[in-house]
Amino acid sequence: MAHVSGHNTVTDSGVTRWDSAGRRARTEGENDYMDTYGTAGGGMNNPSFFTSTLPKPGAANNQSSIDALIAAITQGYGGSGSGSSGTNSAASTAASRLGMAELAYKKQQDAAQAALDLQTKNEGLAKDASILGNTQDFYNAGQAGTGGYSKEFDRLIGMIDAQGTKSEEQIGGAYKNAMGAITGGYNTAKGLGDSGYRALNAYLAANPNDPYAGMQATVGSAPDALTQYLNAYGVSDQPVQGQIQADLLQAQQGAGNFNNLANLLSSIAQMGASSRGAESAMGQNLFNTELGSERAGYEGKAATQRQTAMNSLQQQLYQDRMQQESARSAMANQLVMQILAANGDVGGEVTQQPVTQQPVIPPGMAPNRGKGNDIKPPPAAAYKSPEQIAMEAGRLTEDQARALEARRGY
Amino acid sequence: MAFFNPADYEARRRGATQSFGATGAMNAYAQFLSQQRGTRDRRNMMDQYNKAQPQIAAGYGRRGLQGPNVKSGIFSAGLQDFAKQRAQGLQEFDQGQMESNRMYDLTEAQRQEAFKNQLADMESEKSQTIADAARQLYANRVGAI
Repeated sequence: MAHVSGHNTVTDSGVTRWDSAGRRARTEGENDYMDTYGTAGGGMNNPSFFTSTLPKPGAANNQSSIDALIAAITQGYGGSGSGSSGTNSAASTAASRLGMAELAYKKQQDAAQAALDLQTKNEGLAKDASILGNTQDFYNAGQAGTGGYSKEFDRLIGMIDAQGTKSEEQIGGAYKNAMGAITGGYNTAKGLGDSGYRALNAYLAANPNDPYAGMQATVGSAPDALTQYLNAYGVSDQPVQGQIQADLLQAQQGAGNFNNLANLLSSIAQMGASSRGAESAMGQNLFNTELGSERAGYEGKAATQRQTAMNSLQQQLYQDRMQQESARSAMANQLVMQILAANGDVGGEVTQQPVTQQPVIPPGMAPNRGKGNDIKPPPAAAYKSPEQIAMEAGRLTEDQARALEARRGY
Repeated sequence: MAFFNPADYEARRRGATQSFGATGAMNAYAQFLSQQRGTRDRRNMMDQYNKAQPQIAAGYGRRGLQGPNVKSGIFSAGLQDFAKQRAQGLQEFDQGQMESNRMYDLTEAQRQEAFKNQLADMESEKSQTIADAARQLYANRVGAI
């Protein structure tokens, strides 16, 4: 016997075994033991048979181990009985039944564990498939512009556009208010200034400054020439009259000079009044010109500020849109990478809602429904018992497989 | 900030008007006094001439140059000279009185001209101040733009 302690890969009999610590071991010594007690010593009647030959729950349920186990059982049933007495035969039968029951229990446990593993695997696959499908849907809808990853970006860009529209309206409103203030202020200022000059013109018209206009120098009456007195003495008054006339003429010349002076002063005063009228007209004209110039300046300033604000706003909106579009592109690239990493398909032109890969969901599993993605549950995965597997492999007949399943309660 | 202040303008206008009235009253009163004085002086002058007339004829009579059936050229010339002096004296006095009155009138006209110029200057200044105030108010109104 070539038993090597600690060596658990010897497959002389093809029976998978575990040691006391649960480790799997197949040794030649144990196979010898099986040969000894499985035929002459009662085989499975020996309690150590179960501890040494039956698979532990949770162990790998490969086909070879199942086949070996069935072979061992079959061998126990069909033992030659050589060397066994009647008492030993009854005990062997009871032990065999107990062993079979325990074997059935172990097999059921193995099947349950295998089903659980398969279910877990299928769940993982379904989850992955669901994630991939949802990711593709998310990507394709975004590419088609019908939602997906683009939906949030469209909403943000819509908010940016709405904010831009509102800001443009506010800028336009501010410009309109500014123009209204400029026009209103201009009209008010023009009215005030015009009223001032209108009052000046009215005053100048009502108060002509020409005090010399009515000034006229007169000579006055001629003095008495004492004509009667002179005539009373027989003296002529002719020389006296001549002198009086000469003096009157001189007085008239003096009055004429004064009148000339008055006329000169009057003309100067009239020129002054005319100058004042021209001054008023020029002042009013200058006022209106300056006011109009200031109005044009304010209007230009308001227009420039509006243009500056609009430019700044457009630039800001462009930057915001670019930022969102850049983020959208980055997300699309990221989705493409994820889909490709999951063996998905992102090629082709998307013209309609793409058909996604349906995940495989094991029976009893609720389908993992993504947002807006209705995934139909796949057909139930066919569970195959170890007996069915052995039958399909040709190692068991159909009757044998049914008998074994019936014993396991299937 | 040269805002228009109507109260300041009206105060200045009242001051100018009061000054114009005061100086006008002084000029008018001086003219009145001058006329009064002239009238009195002219009356005194007339009284003197009237008193001198008989004395002149009597003087030539005492010298035998004038009297009944006496007619001399010296007396005629002397009497004519007296009449000339009287006429010249009265005319010169009246002319001087008229010239004095003209001076008062001219002074009054110049005073009125100065007063009206002052008021017109103030009105012009006021309108200019109003225009400046309007522009500054306009600038303040749209200054926030």
